Amino acid sequence: MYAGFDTCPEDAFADFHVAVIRESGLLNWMKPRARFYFDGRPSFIPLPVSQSFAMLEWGLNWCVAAHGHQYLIIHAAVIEREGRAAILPGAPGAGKSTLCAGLINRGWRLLSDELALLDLDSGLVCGMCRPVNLKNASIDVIRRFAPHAVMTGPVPDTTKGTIALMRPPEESIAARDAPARPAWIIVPDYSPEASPELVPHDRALAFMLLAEQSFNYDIHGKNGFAAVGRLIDACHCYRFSYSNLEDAVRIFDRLAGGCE
Amino acid sequence: MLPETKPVQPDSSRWSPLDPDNLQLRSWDSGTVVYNGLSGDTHLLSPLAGDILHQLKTAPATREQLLGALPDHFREEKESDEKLDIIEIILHDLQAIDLVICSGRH
Amino acid sequence: MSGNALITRALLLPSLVTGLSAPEWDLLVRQGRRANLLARLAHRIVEQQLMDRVPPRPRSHLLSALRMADRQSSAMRWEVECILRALAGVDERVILLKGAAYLLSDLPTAKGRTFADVDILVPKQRIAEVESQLMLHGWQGTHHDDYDQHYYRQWMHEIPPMRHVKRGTSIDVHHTVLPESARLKINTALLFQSAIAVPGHGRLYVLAPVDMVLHSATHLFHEGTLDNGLRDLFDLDCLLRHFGAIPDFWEQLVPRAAELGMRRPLYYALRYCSKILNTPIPVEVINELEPGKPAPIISSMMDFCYQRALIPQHHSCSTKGSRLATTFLYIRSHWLRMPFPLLVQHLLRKAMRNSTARAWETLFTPAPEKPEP
Repeated sequence: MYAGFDTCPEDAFADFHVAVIRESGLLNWMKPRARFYFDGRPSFIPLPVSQSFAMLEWGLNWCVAAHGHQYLIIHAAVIEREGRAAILPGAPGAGKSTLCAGLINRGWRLLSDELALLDLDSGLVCGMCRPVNLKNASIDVIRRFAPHAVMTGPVPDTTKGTIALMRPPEESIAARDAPARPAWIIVPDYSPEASPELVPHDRALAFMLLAEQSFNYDIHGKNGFAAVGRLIDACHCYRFSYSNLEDAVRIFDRLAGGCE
Repeated sequence: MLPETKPVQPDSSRWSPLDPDNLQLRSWDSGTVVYNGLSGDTHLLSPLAGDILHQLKTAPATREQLLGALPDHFREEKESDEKLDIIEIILHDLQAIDLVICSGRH
Repeated sequence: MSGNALITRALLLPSLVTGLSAPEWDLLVRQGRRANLLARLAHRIVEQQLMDRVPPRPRSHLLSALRMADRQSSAMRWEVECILRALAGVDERVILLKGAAYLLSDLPTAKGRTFADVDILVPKQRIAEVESQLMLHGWQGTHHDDYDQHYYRQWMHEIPPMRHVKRGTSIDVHHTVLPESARLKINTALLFQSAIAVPGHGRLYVLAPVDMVLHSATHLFHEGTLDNGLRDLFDLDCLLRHFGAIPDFWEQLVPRAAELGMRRPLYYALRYCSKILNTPIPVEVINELEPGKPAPIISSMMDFCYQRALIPQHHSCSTKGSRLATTFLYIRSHWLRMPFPLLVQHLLRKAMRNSTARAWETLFTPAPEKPEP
């Protein structure tokens, strides 16, 4: 999954020191479990070893969300096209991961599928380009939509259901250190029968949604308030209902082409 | 929320923001978001509530003064008492979330 | 001093950070984060105008910690405001303790400090009234287990912590500064008499400077878990350096300790502050504490333990014997706080309840065990 990344040399500064270690003891011999460690301290409860990689990803998300207060961190996917970023906030189940996974296989660059890192001074969003989390039905949807995408096998019975991780496209990984200027806030709304529709979204409501979906909005106080306000002003806000990824690609491409 | 007995005299209670320097407001057509720097809370207000808060931020006011300053929010034909009641309800709501205080009668 | 952890050395001499290598920065950030001292370090670096000379990657972690600490300070001020409003009908002084007291009196100790709960002190006869007013204003008791309720009310110096239903914040209401059952008997009435008003806050009070130092010392040297031990020692160091400049502070300190029954914790506080943090302490004060200091064998055992416990609880700092030392101090703190038969019962109950708690925990996955304070 991390084939396109460099390893951090021993003598460099590392943001976080994490490990996933198999638990010892008789119980764990019969039913092997592993545990996430943050800087030498166990930080989550142990899970079956089959979920180790997913646990590493969840643990890393937690590290960033709990310590990265140099950013305003919003629970949202971020993708970019020609220097302009779309922020896709939304509750689990609204289809933000699926949409994000689909679009990055059709020319959009992945910044993040879960964590939008907004730099308060520059107003730019940063990404980490880590593997994309896919859940349940999305796994097969993406497999059919992008047969060449590299994915882990499905891991059943996690707390989030069956999950699989997808490696981001090489171009996204190569550009992972480049931030992007937010241009759109698009609230995805997946429903099986929906016809594709992109409609302007209320700005005050979009403000509240971003604040609610932020992990550390409250920590930034009035700077966080001002930053979300500036973000809303700088972006077009839409609500996007869809049921089919091909429709989504078409509509997002038109958006990037500057028609809207 | 409202007092049982309606004042016979015009109510001269003066309302003001709890701490004007600690209030940040952003308004769009559909509403106003406000950040209360004291409590750290953010609220979404209706356009009228947002305008009331904007008005109070410039100067403390009674509900009659607020009505005078914000005529556009009300339809002409409504009774003046009814309009004042609406303003009063909003002021009490704003008080309950620590945005404004009532400084009593003068 | 030279054997100190990197975070300790950097806090004592911030200019040191200008010459650190990448792996040293790595270690410094990890130690600071674990000891809850990263924001304090960030604050010291800003104060000395050295932030520009910190490499970008560690700098972002320092700024992150600083933002968190700033926000906690304003949240704490608002919390105190809410508590005062809730207690408006109680005709009594509200004395803030520990972190909240440092913050509301604008002491340098509060700069870059992290905060969790608010601790207040009220006279014992007012406890019921205070508790019911807090409940009326949205605070609820947190310990519903009968054993916990009984334990707190019978033996402790506080009622069970209360949590606000809307804000999720906690308050500890104390009526004295050490458990009722503690071996050390403290004259709480004297603390009330000397408390000083916080300007601009009505009935809000904090302990007088000497009392604040003595309370901080008593608190640290009766604590069972020293996860924040180094942070608390820095608090003491900062208080001593700040108040030490007030005329009469040093003259009052030992007599007041004797009066309140806090000579021994003061002895340890001054000893480890000067040993570990090089806190300047007048030699006369040390001499005044000579009579009644612990026997040499106890003293060397305590040195062994505290010099291992008052460091960041990070594996880079563990030395031979650190686990033994922390276990010993945990048992000692219970020994100091409880009569003996009760000690056995309490440790047992705690051990037993943890095992059932763990079973529950497995149902809620995957969640961090506890957000970092």
